[in-house]
Amino acid sequence: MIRKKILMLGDFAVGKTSLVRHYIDNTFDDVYLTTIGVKVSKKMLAVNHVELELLIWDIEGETPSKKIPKAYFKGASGAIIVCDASRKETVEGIREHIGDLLAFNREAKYVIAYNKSDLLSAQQKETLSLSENTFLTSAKDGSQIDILFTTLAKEILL
Amino acid sequence: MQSVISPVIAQEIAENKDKMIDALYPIMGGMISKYVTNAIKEMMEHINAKIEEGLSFERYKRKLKAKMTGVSETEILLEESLDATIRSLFIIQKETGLLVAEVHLENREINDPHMVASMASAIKDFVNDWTEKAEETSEVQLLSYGNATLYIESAGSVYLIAFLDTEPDFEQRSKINVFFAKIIKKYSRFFQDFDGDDSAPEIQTIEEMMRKFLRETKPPVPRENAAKKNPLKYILILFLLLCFAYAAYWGKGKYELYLLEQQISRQTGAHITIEKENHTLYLKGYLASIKDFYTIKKLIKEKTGKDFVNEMYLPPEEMDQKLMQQKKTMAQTVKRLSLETNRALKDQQHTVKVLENTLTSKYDRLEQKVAGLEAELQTINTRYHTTRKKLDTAISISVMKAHALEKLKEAFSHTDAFHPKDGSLDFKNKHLFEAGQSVPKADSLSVLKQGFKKYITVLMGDKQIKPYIKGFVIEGYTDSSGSYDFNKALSLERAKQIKKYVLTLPVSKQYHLSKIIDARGMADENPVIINGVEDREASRRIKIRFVFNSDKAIESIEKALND
Repeated sequence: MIRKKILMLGDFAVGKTSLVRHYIDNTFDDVYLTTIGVKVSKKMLAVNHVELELLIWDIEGETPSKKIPKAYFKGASGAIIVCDASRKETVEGIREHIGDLLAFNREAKYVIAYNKSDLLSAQQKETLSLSENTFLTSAKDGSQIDILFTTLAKEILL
Repeated sequence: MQSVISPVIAQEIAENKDKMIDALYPIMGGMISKYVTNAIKEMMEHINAKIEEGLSFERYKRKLKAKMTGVSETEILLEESLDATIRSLFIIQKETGLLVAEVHLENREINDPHMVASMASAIKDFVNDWTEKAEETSEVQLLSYGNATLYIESAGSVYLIAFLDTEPDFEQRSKINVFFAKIIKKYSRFFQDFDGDDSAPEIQTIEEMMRKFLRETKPPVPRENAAKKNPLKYILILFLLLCFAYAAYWGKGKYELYLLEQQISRQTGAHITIEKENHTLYLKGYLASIKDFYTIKKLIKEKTGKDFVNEMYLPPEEMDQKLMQQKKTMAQTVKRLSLETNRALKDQQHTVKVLENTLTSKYDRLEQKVAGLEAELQTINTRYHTTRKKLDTAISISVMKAHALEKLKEAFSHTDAFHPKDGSLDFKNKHLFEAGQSVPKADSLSVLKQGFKKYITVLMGDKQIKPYIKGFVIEGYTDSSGSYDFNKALSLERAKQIKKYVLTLPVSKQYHLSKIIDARGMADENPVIINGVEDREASRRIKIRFVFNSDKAIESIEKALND
């Protein structure tokens, strides 16, 4: 079996933990996240007949008063960059999170989750220009969460 | 709520370290205590096991240690009982937090070890980040909660976590560190390149090493009904075994000697006693003949591979005969060897003599040859020097002659009377003679006088050229009419007439030319031809030319050089 470390990155309260909770097999208590700024979960999946276990580091969104240790970013094979599709400022923060990821892991792969898509109207969804690795997700109805993680896993194994 | 709680926690951390530790304890402790059992219970079991050891060697060893160190046996027992038990060992890649290898004591496996490894890695990173901000340079090495402890040792691209039931003492830490260093030394490259694939064969080897380490450091398991052991019993058994082994060894040697004695008796009829002392054989008894002695000697050598000390009695008369015989044989041998040696020496002397004569003869011939070559070389050397000298002279004469010709050419550059090739001055256009006459025409003498004076002055007036001038030749010529004999006589007469005239000139007296001017008749040689028709008047003429010392020598050398 192959194991890889992936990161959940995104601004504060964009729904990273909810996405993870919806997807994973096992996790530590949420108390870790509020105390040390990270919580590890795991998910096992098979990609192209290869058994892969993702160790998902759900990193708390950084705020001016709470800095996250940069060591958490090291050694990641990939990341899911999450934004709140209904909050423009979190979408604008995507670029910075990608920069943080690549600064520590030049070869890392990433996918982008426009989360809380259930809050968007059909018209708003149409106006969004989404690229190949960008997904409209919702932890509320579970839409596109599986494909979000599977796409990242495939990218990592390429 | 989150936006309110987080700044408050951050502020608390910044203001008070103790509060930070208090905040972390429930997190780390919850995780650690999940995998570590009751240390007190283990310690009690451990002490019970020690007590049950009873009369074991361990007890005597402990007693001895207590006497030597002055520390009571109870304290030593307690200290031994307090050794921490390592339940699990993890090796985790630093950057990724991925678990590379894991081992556990039996029935102490940890659920979800990969998640635990990642979380432990995160906690370590968090604490390290916090201590760095607090300007403390050292990394976190020990995380404790209640009776559970994580001992963390970092090296290269990985760190090792030992899950213990209590804090390890210095000795235990050293053991763990030494073991970890051993693994790092061997597998540092593998750890660095580890990509999360747990099928790598190295992992099995590493885990085997870790398992072995766990077994070695595991405290003894208490045995409720273990029999008490008495060390005296073992000592007695050991002593008896040693006695038996010695007796067997001694009996075997004796039996072998007995067999040998029997064999000697069968072959010689003599009753010989063999004794062995310090690996040396002593033979005692009476022999009937010397022959028996040699039979025994051969037999002993065959059976034991050794010589022996002879303490046997031999018959004296036979001994004397034997000695005489040996003496005689030896004398004959010496005589034979002496003769053979003398003969060989004589042969060799003869060979050496022949060789010496041959070499002397060869040397003489070579010496003669060398003397001949030396003489030849001397001759060649002399010839070389002579030739060299001549050549040098010829070169200097040749150079001087060229110089003389150059000066004459310059002096007579206004006229074609001078011939640079042979250095002669040709009075061909001066109408010197009437046909058939040898006396020069009076009106032509002034031209002759001027030309002669200039020619002589150029050569004899030069201090460098003068020593090389041997003399001058006045050549008389006729036209081609008339017979050769007539012309020969007429041309000679013309030359003489001119010689007679020039000797009257002051310049001839100045340079004492009377003895060095020669007159020659050239008959009608080299007539003057203009447009294919002879100019007879011009042909009736004289030439003056100089003769250089060694002119012939120069010619011969030049010829030799050209050849």
